[in-house]
Amino acid sequence: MTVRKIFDEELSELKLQLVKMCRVTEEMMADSITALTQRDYELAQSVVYLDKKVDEYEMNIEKQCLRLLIKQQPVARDFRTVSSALKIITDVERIGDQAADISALTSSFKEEKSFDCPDLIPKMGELAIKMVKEAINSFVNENPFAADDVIKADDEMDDMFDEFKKQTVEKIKQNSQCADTAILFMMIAKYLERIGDHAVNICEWTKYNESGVHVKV
Amino acid sequence: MNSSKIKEQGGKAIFAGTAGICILAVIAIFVFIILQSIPALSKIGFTDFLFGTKWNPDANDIYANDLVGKYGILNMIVGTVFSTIGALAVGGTLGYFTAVYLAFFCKGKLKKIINTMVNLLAGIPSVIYGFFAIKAVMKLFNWMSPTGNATGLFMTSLILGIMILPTVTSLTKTSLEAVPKSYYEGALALGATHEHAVFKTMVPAAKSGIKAALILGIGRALGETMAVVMVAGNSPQIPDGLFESFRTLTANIVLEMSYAGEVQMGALFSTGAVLLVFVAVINILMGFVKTGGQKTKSKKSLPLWDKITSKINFGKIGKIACFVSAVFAGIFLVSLVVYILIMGLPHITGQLLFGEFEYGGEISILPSIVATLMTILLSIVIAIPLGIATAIFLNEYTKKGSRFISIIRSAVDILSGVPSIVYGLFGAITFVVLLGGSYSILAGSLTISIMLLPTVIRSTEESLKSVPDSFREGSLALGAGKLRTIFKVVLPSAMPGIIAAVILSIGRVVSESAPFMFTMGASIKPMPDGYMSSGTTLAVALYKLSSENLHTNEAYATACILIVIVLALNLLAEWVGKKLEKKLNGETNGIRTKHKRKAS
Amino acid sequence: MEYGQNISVKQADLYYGDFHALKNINIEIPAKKITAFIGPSGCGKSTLLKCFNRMNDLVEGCKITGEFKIGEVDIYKTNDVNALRKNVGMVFQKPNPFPMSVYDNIAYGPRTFGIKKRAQLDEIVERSLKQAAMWDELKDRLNKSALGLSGGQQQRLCIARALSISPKIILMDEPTSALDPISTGKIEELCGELKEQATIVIVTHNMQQATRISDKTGFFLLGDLVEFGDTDQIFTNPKNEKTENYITGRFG
Repeated sequence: MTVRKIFDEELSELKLQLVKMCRVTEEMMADSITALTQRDYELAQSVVYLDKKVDEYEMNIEKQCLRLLIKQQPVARDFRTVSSALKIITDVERIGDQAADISALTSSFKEEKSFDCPDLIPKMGELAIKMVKEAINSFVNENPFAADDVIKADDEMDDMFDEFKKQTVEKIKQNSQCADTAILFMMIAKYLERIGDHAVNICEWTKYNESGVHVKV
Repeated sequence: MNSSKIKEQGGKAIFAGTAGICILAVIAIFVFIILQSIPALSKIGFTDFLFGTKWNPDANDIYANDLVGKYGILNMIVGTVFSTIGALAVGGTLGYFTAVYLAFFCKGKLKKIINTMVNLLAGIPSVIYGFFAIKAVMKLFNWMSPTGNATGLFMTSLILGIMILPTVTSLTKTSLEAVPKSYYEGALALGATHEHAVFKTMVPAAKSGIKAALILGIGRALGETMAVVMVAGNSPQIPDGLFESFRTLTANIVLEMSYAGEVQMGALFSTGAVLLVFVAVINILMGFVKTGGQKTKSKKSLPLWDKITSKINFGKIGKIACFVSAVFAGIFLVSLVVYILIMGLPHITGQLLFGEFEYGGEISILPSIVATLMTILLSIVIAIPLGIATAIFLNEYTKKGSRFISIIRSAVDILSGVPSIVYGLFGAITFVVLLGGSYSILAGSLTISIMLLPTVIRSTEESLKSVPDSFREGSLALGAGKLRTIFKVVLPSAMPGIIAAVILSIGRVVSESAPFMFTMGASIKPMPDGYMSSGTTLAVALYKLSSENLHTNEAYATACILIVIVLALNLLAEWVGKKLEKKLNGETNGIRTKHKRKAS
Repeated sequence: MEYGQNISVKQADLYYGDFHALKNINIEIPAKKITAFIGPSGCGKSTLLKCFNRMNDLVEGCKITGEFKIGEVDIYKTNDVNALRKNVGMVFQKPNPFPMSVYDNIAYGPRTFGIKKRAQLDEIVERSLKQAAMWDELKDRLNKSALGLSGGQQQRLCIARALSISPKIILMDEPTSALDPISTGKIEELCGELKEQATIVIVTHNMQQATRISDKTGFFLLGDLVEFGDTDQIFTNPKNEKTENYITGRFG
């Protein structure tokens, strides 16, 4: 039935690359959280290196998309898939950046003697990883319902972030000595919250890919 | 809007009407000839006439009295069949191989030259063939004949064969060239040699076309009159040797028409009717070949032919046969032209061309030239518009498979197959009678006009067909009506073909003689003083001069003039055709011709 | 009754003998827009196009039912086909200039409708050539044979010829399929300019062409009008799976 065999193969290759890129960012996120909680500064350093790999992926996938646009002049779903991929890699690359940023902040805890990582941070990290993973899966598997779940999960993320904000304010009020670290944790929480937003963006493209309509949530 | 509709309908009616004339002509020819032959047939007896072997007419026989003479034409039927078979053996073989040579073994200039030569052979008047045969060719073969005179079956077959060669060649070539090139390439790709690909792949693919060509050749040989009369010997007997004298059906009519008595005349018309039966049979055969050519096992239809070709298929023999045939045709043409020019040119004198004609004294062919010109003028004026209108009707107004159209088409086919002598007979009992019973240039012109119709129709139709439909669509899409489309776009584009048709028609008028002898007169006369006076065309004059054997030099001179005219007309037709084709393709105006190929 | 610039087809069926070539077609083609018909060979797109100026009348055994309206005129109820074709011009797949001069080619249409005065014809020829953006190219060659022009020039001349009788609608049957990309580009650009004054309906096998130049696109398959809508919508988000399969090249 399929006439455009080569094109179809190239499209699935494109998706495969996207998944691989995403796996790297997931690894980066997981590592950055582990590095933070375990105070493993070497691991944190490796995350910063991994970010280069993600940038490489972005460049390659972008090239691949542009080449497909020129060569195959895709229309309809094909066109939506390629253009969505082109947009999604920007979000994934940002996610990678954020994971690297978290690791960079982790390094600044090196001098601190007492270290007390708030419980919410690993929780938010876990959720962020899950959202990113699900978002990419929903795109690759062309499943808009999974995308809806991710968008719902973002509310949970926002709630956790609000909660964390409250806790931090409380903490600083109680003990102004720990204000420095509290602000650093606050920034990490913000990065995780942003990762959730990027995952939502990815889901929006998934939904565009399926319906042809791009709606901002 | 209403008036334009009336115009359109009126135009269509006129075209249909002219097309109807063809049907009318066929019916008239058959009816009149048969009507004329019925009394004689009933008097002589049908079987006695067909199967009687004695032909000894008595000019005094009338229907009212008992017959004195004998009127059996079996010998002549056999003679016609023999000479036709002989002609087919010579002309069919030569024509076939020449066609294969032209289509596959010959390129560039040489191809053009041989092509032109074959066309010229077709244009040479049959009187000239006969004249050349008795004056020159026969001398080469006289030693072979026991009587020392080469007239007879062999000579007739040879001359008829060369006369049908152009017909066979051009039709065979057309069907060979219509075979897709990819067959040839396919054969070569399988490792076949050029010769093998040609004879085993291309030729079989064109089989039905080749058969049609041979059948048309047979038709031509059957109907040929003047050349046969001059070389056959004409005694009404079955030839029992190649150099025995014999008589054909057509010759029978020409020989005795002018002094026939009542019953004899009827018998001659009956002879014409028998010829018409032959024509009908050939047309039916053609129909078979055209429709059933693919289905019938072609292997069985011409076993002898297949044997011959399959023997020479392999190796170079076929190629050599092709080359020899083409060269033979070329040599024949050149020697004919050269011989007649050499013998004739010195005798073209002022007296002959422009002198006063005197009975029993000085000969002048000026009256014949004038009569020829008058005939050309009138017949062109009649035949060309009728032919074009019919062709327009056939090509522009037809619905495929319409009954009326297929009837017209077969009428045109039959008209083109009717022997010229039968046209002569027909003219003699219709136009001559209508015009007061005496020979006249008008009667002759009317007769030849009908004869020209099929040529004009076919040639015009071919060129109408070659006008791309996109022109018609373009015009109609601009809101033009059918008449305007035809007259402003289609006809101008078809002009080369139409002009070629006019020139070929002129050539035909110049070279025909049989239809004129009993409509216009056969004796050389002083200057005609109008269309109602009798006269002879140049070709008839040549026949007379050569058969009287008194004015040999004048005969040579006349032949010389005739051949120059005919050759000039044929070359002109070719030249005009090319010129106009070029102009139509836009090559002469020189704007960006290199882009032209892209467009086409 | 006036010929308008919009075409309205209702419940149209067309048969060639026993073959059902168009099946219950309903379509509203808007005025002064470019509408493209796409679909595989033999899907009926050209057939429908030729209904609009009744060129199918020339085809034997062709039977048409349903309503075809151009403006207010029901074109299969009028007897004056020539007036219809004056209002609905056509450009064909292969350039078909008549074997006459450039001038006579363009003057052919006006002359058909009785314009004989040289000055008037001159004006029409100039206007038509200018509209087809060929005046500068051809003004010195008006008396040369049109057959000497390049393929692309010939096709634009045919467009100029169609324009000579100021049609309200121009039908184009794969007008660039025989042309090189540069000539194709010129003709596409020309279409964009012509829609200021006329409705254009174009049949094309080239989908990029349809996306480039058309406002509306109709997709045909086996005699059905499968989908008709804005070109942007058809090519980014077709509603029908058959359309999707066809335009993405995953057809049969």
